[in-house]
Amino acid sequence: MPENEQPVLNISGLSTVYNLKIGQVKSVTDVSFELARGEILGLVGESGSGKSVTGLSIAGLITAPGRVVSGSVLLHGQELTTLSENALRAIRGNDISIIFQDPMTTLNPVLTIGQQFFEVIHAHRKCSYSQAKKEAEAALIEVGIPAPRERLGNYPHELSGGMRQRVCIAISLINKPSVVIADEPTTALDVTIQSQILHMMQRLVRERDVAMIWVTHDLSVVAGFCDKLAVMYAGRIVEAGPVQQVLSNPAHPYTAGLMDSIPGDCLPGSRLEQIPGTQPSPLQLPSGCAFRTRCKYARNECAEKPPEVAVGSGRTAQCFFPLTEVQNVRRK
Amino acid sequence: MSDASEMTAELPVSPQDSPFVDVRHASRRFERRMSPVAAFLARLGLDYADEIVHAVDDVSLRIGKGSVLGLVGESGCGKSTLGRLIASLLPVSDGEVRIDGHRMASKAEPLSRRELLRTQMVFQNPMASLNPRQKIVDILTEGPIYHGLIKRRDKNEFAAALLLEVGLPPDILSRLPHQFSGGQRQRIGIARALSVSPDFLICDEPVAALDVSIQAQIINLLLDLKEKRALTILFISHDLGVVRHLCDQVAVMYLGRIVEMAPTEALFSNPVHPYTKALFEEIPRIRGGHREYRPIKGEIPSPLSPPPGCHFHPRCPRAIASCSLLAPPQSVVGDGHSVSCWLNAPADPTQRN
Repeated sequence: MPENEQPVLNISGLSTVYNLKIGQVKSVTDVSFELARGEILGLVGESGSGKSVTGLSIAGLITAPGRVVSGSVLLHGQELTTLSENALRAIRGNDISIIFQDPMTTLNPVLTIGQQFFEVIHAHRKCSYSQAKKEAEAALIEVGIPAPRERLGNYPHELSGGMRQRVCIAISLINKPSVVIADEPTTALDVTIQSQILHMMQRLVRERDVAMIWVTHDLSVVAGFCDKLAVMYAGRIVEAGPVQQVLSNPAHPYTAGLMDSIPGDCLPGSRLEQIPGTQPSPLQLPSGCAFRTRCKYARNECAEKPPEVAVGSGRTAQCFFPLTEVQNVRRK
Repeated sequence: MSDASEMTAELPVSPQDSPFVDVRHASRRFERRMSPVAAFLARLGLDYADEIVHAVDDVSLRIGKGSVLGLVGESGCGKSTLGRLIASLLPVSDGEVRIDGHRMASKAEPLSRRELLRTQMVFQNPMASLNPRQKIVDILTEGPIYHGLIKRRDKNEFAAALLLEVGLPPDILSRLPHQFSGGQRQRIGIARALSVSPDFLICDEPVAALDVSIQAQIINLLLDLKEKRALTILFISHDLGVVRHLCDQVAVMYLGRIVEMAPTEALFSNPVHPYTKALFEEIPRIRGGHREYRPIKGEIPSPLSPPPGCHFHPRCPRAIASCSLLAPPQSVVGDGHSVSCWLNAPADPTQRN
């Protein structure tokens, strides 16, 4: 990727809260990152860590009782958080598009695939149905669907899960967006189909030079697929940086804990290293570092808000005591 | 099909000589009868017929006492159905399932309740498998009280001990399932399965719905319980990493048939069947860095109309002519390592047994 190009997407200090009767839930707190063309950012976290809400906040899809309270989202230098709903509609599905997790609930069950393509194209530019069909056919071939003409006349229930997700991907790319937010698009799929989709996305991102945010809970997918990685915990990005560097030498204890929980490198049949406890309730987060109640390195200082420290080129971690290389060697 | 089943070799005996769980040529078919209109049209000579799904097709496997067998495969390959057959939640269409020598679900010699209780199941989704209106104490003690294993007045003590065993505080007895997180609920599901002191546990994707950090906790719990209670476990999963960690033996299933079965280390170091190889290729790995994905083509075919011969041949990179004609015979390629593939079939039919 070109080094000194302007980032396509620039997020800074983004915070989203949900005002519920039982209290305020801070889903996303002070999230910042930038993304250049042709780059894939892996946004990783457990359920409830705020990774999906981050994606939705960028696309302006937060609805009441949720609200983006601060921060800015710059797309090609244009601020999105202050735009009117109409102006946002012109951008969503056009310059920013989203692929959701479950392709069954994303596609409209009573419209044919062809009609759904037409809807998306027609919403953003003048286009006849026959021309939309031609474009859709080309797009379906791109994502590896055989016999695209017949598929356009099908309803979603006539396609398999993998096929449906391919259709969603084709629809999300049809208006040539510059940013694609993929919210766990392969979680509901089998490993062979997941591998096919990852292969296809790698090719499409390269060919079309789109910037992509890949939201997932699966660190191992990120390892083989993304360029940058951001790990979220309790609404904050606790560690970010180039994928290989972060994974070979994690600085935040949470990242290290996540990596150790995945069976693979340790002796089969031995106990896995586990992170004790569960994620804190978002209604009552611990003060300071939210991870400190589960962290084995935590000390008294951790009750204060942890600083964001640089831990190598282009890498940051929100921690008072980031892990050193020596500690990581010992960890293994 | 008939020649194929004749050729199927007896499975290699696993290290233990008398297997605890012995599944012999089990099949399960689901039929959808024609509608009356379709039946009428079929009688007029039109192309209508009952739809039959071969969910499990002539599967044989053995699990030694105290060992863990992993059953892996894509969704729709029949691994959950096989689990339910072994748990006798579903009757077999053909073949038989024996647990510790007793034949399950046989009308001739019905099993006592006590025998049936020896097999218990842990389900995938702990939200859907726990009754939302039952208190934890009732979830855990309903089974043992009904079967007369404990007295009603002892139920609090009994449930508290179970909760401690699965790593939950015993003071949650009067709470309801929705008050717990996914991982805690799965612990309750495991405690419920253990409440009737089974010695065989069938776990149907018990960690698939959980986050990685919680997944590790549940895997550790299963490892501990296996040691402490000397459990035999059938572990159904699509996650090869988890299976490698937990299981002694692994069976790989594709569209109703077991294509390869071996001790875990043998299978992971030397996969033989092209499908197993492809599956291993595609496991995302943390180490190894950026990589190109080279996926196998196509999707798992509809079990309504499985391809003839070897079910995998339309997607197989090494398919040869015989693959599309006949189901491949089972051949032994190593100690306890068997595979169903024409590429490994002995050339001479007399050597096949």
